[in-house]
Amino acid sequence: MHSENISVQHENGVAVVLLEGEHDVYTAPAVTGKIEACLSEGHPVVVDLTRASFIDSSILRALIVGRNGSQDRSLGFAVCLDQNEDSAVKRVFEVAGAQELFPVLSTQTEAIDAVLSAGNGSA
Amino acid sequence: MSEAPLQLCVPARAEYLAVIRQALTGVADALEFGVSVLNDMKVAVNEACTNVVVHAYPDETGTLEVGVRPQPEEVAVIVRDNGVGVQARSDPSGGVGFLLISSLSDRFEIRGGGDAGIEVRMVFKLDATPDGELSAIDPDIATRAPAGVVSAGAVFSAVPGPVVGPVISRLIGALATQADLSLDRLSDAQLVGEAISAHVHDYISGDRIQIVLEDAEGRLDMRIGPLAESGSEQLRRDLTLPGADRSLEQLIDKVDTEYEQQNGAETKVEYLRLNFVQS
Repeated sequence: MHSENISVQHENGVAVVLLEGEHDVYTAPAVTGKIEACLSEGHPVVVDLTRASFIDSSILRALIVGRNGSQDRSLGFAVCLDQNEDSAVKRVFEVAGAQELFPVLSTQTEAIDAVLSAGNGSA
Repeated sequence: MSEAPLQLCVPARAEYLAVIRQALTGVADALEFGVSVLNDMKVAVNEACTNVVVHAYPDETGTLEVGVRPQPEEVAVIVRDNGVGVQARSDPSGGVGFLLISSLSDRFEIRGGGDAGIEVRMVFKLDATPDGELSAIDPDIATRAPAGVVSAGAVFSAVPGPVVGPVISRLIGALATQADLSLDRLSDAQLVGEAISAHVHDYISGDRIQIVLEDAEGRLDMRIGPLAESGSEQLRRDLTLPGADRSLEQLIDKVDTEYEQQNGAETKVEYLRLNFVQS
């Protein structure tokens, strides 16, 4: 539950915001801040949740804020998460219907490809 | 009215949500229920707790109380606060929080109003059981005042049983991490906590154990009690490893016994206080 559990990498011009471990309302402001900083620099964003073991509604809210920010700037936005049936993160996405809100892929590579292939603003 | 068999009280601050989730993991460790039930429980309980953290105490600090009643087929969890009433709150997630609670628990209800704080009561079935009418959530739990209050840390109160050790171990792990103790010191504190959990039921005064864990940068303090007369000394003796001359007490930086009068001056009880410090 420390800020070092949120990191940013760049891949082919796409900013990948990587969340590891557990994330909730305590870390949500930092997640929102990282996404916003990447968008402000003009980068499309992939939020990688494949190493996140727990997220809650405040993280979903941070993702929605990020998606809205990407649309305002016509930049791509996508999420990737572990599709394992036991994944607590996937369960939250399913129950909240979050898969309808932004592109959700299984791997970081697929998410980056989705953002790049969609061009500006659609993924 | 009675307290829940397991009760945890923490400051209503966001950094303690992970501590509560670890306590639930400790319950799952002890009862060996499946990861899918635990995941659902952690998300739903976390959402109820988040509402408390964000909305219950707009102008003051307050406490967040979680009661757990494990039963053979289900676990009831009650999240309670003494903050503003339900009308003064809105779901910070725009409704997603309560969607998650209602979807991931097998039944739930919200009690409270006015300025009396609220309770969110949730039940999680441990196995898929045949459909049928759901029984009411037992009203006779988690209705007393918080077990205790600390400004930084957790107050865990429980009826002695097999769940206590795993929950204490998880709580120590979460709070030692928060205190930035090294993995070695965290492990030392968990070893001592587990040993105490295994023996403390022999020495308690009354029917409940209370373990207060206070964390600060580079240190973790534990206060165990109330213990019957000489219970502290007996408990320290039980920290000696079987067949060895070493005692787990060597892993503790400071050990003290505190005394307290109860019921006027009729009964004297003891508390064992332990300090773990990052060297």
